[in-house]
Amino acid sequence: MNTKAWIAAAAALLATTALTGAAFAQDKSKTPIKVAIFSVNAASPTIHAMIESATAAAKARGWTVETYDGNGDQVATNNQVNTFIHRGFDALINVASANTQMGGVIANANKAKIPFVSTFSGMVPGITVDIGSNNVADGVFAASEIAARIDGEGEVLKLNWTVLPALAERDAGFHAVMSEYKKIKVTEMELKVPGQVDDTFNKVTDFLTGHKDVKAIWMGWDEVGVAAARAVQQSHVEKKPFVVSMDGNDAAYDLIRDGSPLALTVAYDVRGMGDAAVQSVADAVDGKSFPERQIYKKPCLITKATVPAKGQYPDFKTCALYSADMPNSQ
Amino acid sequence: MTADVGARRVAARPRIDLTVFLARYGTLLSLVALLIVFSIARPDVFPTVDNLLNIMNQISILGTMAFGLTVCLVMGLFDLSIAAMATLGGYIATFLLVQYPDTISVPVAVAIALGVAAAIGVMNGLIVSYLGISAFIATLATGSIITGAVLGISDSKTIITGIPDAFMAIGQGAIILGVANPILIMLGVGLVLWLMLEHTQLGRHLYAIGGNAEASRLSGIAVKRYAPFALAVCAVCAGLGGLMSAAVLGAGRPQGVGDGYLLNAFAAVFIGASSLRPGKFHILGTMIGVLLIGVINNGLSVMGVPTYWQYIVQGLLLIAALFSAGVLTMRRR
Repeated sequence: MNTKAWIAAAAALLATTALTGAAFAQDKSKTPIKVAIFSVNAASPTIHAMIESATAAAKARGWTVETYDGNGDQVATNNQVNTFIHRGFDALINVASANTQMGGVIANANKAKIPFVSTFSGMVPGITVDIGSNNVADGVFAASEIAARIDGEGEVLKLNWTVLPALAERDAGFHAVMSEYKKIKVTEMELKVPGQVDDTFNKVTDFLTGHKDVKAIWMGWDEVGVAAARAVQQSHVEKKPFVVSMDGNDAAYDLIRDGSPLALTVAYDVRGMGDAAVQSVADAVDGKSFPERQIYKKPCLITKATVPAKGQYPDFKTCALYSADMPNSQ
Repeated sequence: MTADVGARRVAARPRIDLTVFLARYGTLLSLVALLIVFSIARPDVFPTVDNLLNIMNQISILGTMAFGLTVCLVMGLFDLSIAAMATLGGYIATFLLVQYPDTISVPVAVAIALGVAAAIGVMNGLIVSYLGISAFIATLATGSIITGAVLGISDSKTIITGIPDAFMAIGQGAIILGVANPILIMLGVGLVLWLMLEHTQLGRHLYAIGGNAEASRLSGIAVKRYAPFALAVCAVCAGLGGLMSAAVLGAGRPQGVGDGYLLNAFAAVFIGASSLRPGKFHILGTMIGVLLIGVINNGLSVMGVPTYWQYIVQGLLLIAALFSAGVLTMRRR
């Protein structure tokens, strides 16, 4: 065989290999791959909903799913994820554990060529994609609603845990709005974590004892928003302040539906995020590339006027995000 | 003659040892001082009846758990499973009420939750007494098992809907003179355990074993039988604390309920052991310790002091309290 024939044969072989590889890569999501879904704190209601939906979506594709709850321990979470990598899992889905604290794990996943998809965990180098919400904007929505409802003046209490990057971003949104309202007096408190639910209850109760004219309370996330609403309900203040928070978990919907002090939540499509994470894993293992590593999903403004019926969830494609789009607005 | 009698009177008058006085009453004085300082700082808020009841309400879960822990520590047993036990207590009760609303009433759910806690406490005690494993390690292990079991049973899912109002009334109601139920529960538990420890042979035996287990055994006390009892009491109190938390917040959380109380409960009991009867764990002292923690947290919160100061002040106070108790112990030697 002459040189030209050798080259032609080699080219044909390479082309065949490439095509076979591409075909295999395209089909990999249709094979029973192994996926690990984990969180540093899976018991948090919002996080749990994301894990549930991601698990269901992955199983519906015929994938093998293993879940892990770090129970608040980030180091244990990282160790477990490294174990998943060593055990040969095909993809990793991180649900709301700060990616900033998982640099070593992400590097290991990259070395092993395993997609690392996350939800609500922040964008850092090395991840495949993070699906979340624009937390700064969400903080703005919640704070703007407060400013509008109290006519731009009065006393507002804000409680948050700014150690978590997503919550710090919401905090930034809150401050961006409040800096424009000089007649709103803001008192800020940092929550104790763990023990955030009880701490919220105590702090709100204490504050209301000494500040009878508080008009509104901004809470960093629904888990503590619900506790704040309970504290307001049980307080002795005559004019009970309203509470706003973010996430959109079932307890928040219940309280909003019941007309409790929890007046609104900026709700995320947490179940949709779980589904989107699984779709992203499928795309990644099939060899598709992601033009952006941070994907934002649209939230909804859930008030008594828009809260879904018990057992149902908002339609995030059509739901209102601005008060003017609410059903009872003019 | 008159001068002579006067001199003898002076000599007969007991001298006040300032170190002993401070060691015994220092914690109590600190509590009074804090009450005064916060009252001066926020006279319109802190010393009001509303706020004092608020403080009592806020310490009720911690107090209930700390009282139980006191019984263990009297015997020299460290129970590290109380955090998990609190989570378990609240979760079991809400789980039963939501899963079986037609068959299980609130009293039954409460009884089952506390019964399970008691059974685990007894098991802890049997491990300690008959397997010779230290309570510190045994309860650490049991706590881990409970945490895992609750997470597994619950699938890490918080129970937030369907909890009956009758259950939430345990935490949110006020059946006597407008005093919140959790306060009444805490005081009731404290009274029962105080009577048990201070006025029964059972209590005296617990103190005797805590003082010197071998001497107690030689004097005829069946030492091994007491650990299951003490750890069961501790477990029931922790479970009750978690149950109260679930009732206050209207949620059965499968994780982290007791975590915020574990160290504070130990802090309260140790602060208590530095007051009135330095070096001895006792219910009245624990009440002082719990009050101290509650007043610090409430006072600083009412004054708008940042959260991190609450951690710092509480830590400093614990050191001060233990130091004062240590001084007295050293002097006794």
